[in-house]
Amino acid sequence: MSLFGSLGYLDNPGIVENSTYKRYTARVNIAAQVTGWLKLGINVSGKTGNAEMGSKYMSSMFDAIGTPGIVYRSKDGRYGGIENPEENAQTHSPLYLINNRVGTIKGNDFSGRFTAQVSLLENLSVEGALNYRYANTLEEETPRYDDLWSFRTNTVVYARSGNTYVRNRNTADKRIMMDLVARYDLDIAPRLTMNLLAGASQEKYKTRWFEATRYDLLEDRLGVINAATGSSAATGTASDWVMRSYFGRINLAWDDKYLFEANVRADGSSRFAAGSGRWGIFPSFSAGWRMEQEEFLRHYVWLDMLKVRASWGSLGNNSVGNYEYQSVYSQSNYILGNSLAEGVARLALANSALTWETTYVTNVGIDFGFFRSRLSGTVDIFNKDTRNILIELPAPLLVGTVSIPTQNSARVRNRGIEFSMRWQDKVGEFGYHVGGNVSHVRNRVMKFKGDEANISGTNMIKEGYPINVQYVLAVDRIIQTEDDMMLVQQIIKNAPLDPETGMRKNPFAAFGTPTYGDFLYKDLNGDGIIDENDRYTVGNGNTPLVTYGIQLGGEFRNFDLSVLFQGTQGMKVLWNDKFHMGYIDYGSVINRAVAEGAWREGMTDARYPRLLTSTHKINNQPSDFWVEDKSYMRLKNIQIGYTVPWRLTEAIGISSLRVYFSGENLFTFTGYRGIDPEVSGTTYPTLKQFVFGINLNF
Amino acid sequence: MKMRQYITMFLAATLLTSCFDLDTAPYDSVAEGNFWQTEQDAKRAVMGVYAQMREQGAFGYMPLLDTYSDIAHGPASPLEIGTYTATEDFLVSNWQDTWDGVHRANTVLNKVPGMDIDEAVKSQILGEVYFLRALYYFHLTDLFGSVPLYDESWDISEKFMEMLLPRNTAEECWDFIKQDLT
Repeated sequence: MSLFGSLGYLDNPGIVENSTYKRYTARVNIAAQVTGWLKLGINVSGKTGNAEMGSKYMSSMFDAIGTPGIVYRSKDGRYGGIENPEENAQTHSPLYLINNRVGTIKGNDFSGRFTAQVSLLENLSVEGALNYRYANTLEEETPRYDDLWSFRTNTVVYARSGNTYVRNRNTADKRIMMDLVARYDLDIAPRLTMNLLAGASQEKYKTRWFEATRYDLLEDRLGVINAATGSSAATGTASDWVMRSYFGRINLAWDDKYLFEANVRADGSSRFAAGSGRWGIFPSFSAGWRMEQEEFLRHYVWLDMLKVRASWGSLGNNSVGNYEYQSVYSQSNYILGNSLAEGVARLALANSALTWETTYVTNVGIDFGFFRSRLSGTVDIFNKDTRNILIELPAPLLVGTVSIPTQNSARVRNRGIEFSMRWQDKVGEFGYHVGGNVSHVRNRVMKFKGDEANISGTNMIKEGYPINVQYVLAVDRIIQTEDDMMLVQQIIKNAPLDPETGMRKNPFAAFGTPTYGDFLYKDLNGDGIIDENDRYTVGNGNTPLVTYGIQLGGEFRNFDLSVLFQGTQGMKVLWNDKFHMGYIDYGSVINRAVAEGAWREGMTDARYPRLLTSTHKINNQPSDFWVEDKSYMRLKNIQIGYTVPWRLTEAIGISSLRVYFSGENLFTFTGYRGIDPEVSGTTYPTLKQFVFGINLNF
Repeated sequence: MKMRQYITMFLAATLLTSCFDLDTAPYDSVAEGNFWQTEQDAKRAVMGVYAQMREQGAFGYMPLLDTYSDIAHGPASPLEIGTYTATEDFLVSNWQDTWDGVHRANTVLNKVPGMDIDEAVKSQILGEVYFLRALYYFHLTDLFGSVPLYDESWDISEKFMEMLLPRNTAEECWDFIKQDLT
């Protein structure tokens, strides 16, 4: 019988106000060999956490960072508003936004795994397991209405008022998973062994939430429903999914030299209609050859391990909404004769033909170890062919505003190579290791709608291109000189004739005629007109071409050091959001680079176009000017540790004591001008963290 | 030895007898299979056709249409200045919201005739919904000149990706509307 227990406490004050997070965790693992043939296990863990309400509304801070001229908050606690009456009075101080809703988010989480293993015969065993997880979250929220002040005139510029309320929201998630697996080992011949496995599993997930709000609190600091006296509102719903699987596996090994494995699994999902679409059957096969075991390689003493592998397999994916195959009618009420008339309508269309998305993976690889395992590594070449991809496609506008279900469409191929290598050695008392891994993937849409493309925003899906490749206009130049203006005049002069009127067309009708400080877009299709038909494809879609990591480490006497770098190459995205764009309005903010680099009268070397108000669309069309390369390399982690000599700690009953310092995300090398190349868009960035820690073992 | 088998059987039995049902249904809406049964279902579906009229693009923004005429003046939108394109929000929402009304009417006209309900109620429902469909088509034909015609035989839930029929002529549209009204 073995027993393990742990307790944890975390108090994270957060880097933003009103976002403290406290958490207690506990875990107990028990494993018991009850008799010679029965083994029972219980793993139970629980977590209870308490977060301040601001953490829920963190993103609002990025959405509405105020005008540069406002005071975020004065020393007496008043929040600042606009100082210039021309600006938008509703401009908020980000500190106000993060503090204008208070309360707590309490989370309780329980998970348990109960197992029983029965050895029926010497080589036949059956194992059953039940996993259960229950998570419950209760949010209690009340608003704070604080006026926004102009400190220049000492007046309120925006009086914030409203109904006080208390809002309680409870979410409960439940997940049950059961599995039963039988294993049978057999020596078929003296050198041939076989392992068989057969099993079944099922899983059920259900989430349920409700929210109740009541207005007009008796007193601001109260926070339960009965502390409010006004009107109330309640909402809530539930949702679930179920999955059942049967699986089997055969392992064959000849002398530990030739290895073969075959797998098959059948998965059934509640997200697909009963019938042929619900069940997917996914076989896979793999073979391996441990070449170092062969006689003809025995005399190469430096060769420790050389294994050649090949595999082919398929896997299913059911990531669609829970009920998308079912046609349903939801509430859509009308008012007749001054009273509510209950109505229903189909607000979402269904796709009864939905079925599994299947990925077929072919993989060939080599594992090797040389020179008494000082040099080791793996090489893999793979081809992933994903068919019946579950994708949301826009339907013709005529279908209306009903939501369109996911469809099985398109086939995408991912081809790539992965390579990793590690060298480790010891020189006297100094041990070190150097390792790295690189993977390169190319992604291509193999089958879609023929020559037809699907464009949503700047993402394009089209046969022959990477999935979601950026489809944008090409910027030729920012018009800054007389020569540039001549070009514009030439385009107008050479515009094609309108057959109806006999006059020359306006080549700039789509976005407006550019002048000094504006973009001149390229006429890529050569029809003399600059419009949306001049867009072209840039980049490789949403995934980087190359991802890599570098690990370095060493130990000297009681000191140890490890360093981890990670990076990507070749991902291009459109970065044209709130603060990085070609226009500005009163009360909004743009990046310093845009403000300082914008074209102004007399400039010939502007890096950004002139700043216009948002009614001018010419410089803010999605174009390759706003496409940024997200390649980066980052010092992800560095850790220095010192282990206190055992003879010093032994006396006080400590078997090992290590103190360490670790830093995360300390340096980033990138040309990307956005907030963080590791996150998408302008949102909460990756943090630099410094950790000082102690590891104790008794 | 017996004990082992009992426990194994118990494990197997627990798993096999407590199979989770793979047929799940939404908790907050009525599935197609359970709908179109009673008179109340039919009446609620008709209210759904009326309810679409409240949407901005259908009839909710009706008074605003005057700002595009000589009667009234609104904010200088591209529609008023004459620089609008097919992606103009106002036009898109008129198009989509009104078509929603047509599709809701078509669904009722397709389902209700086959229902086993009181004939008088049925005929009143069909009368109201034919009128509503004519009203939605009137709005579309009035605003867009002529439109493709989809009647109740078109199953939108099966063929939503194929709704790319060319426009009918204006006369065909007006005839269709008159036919619905008579």
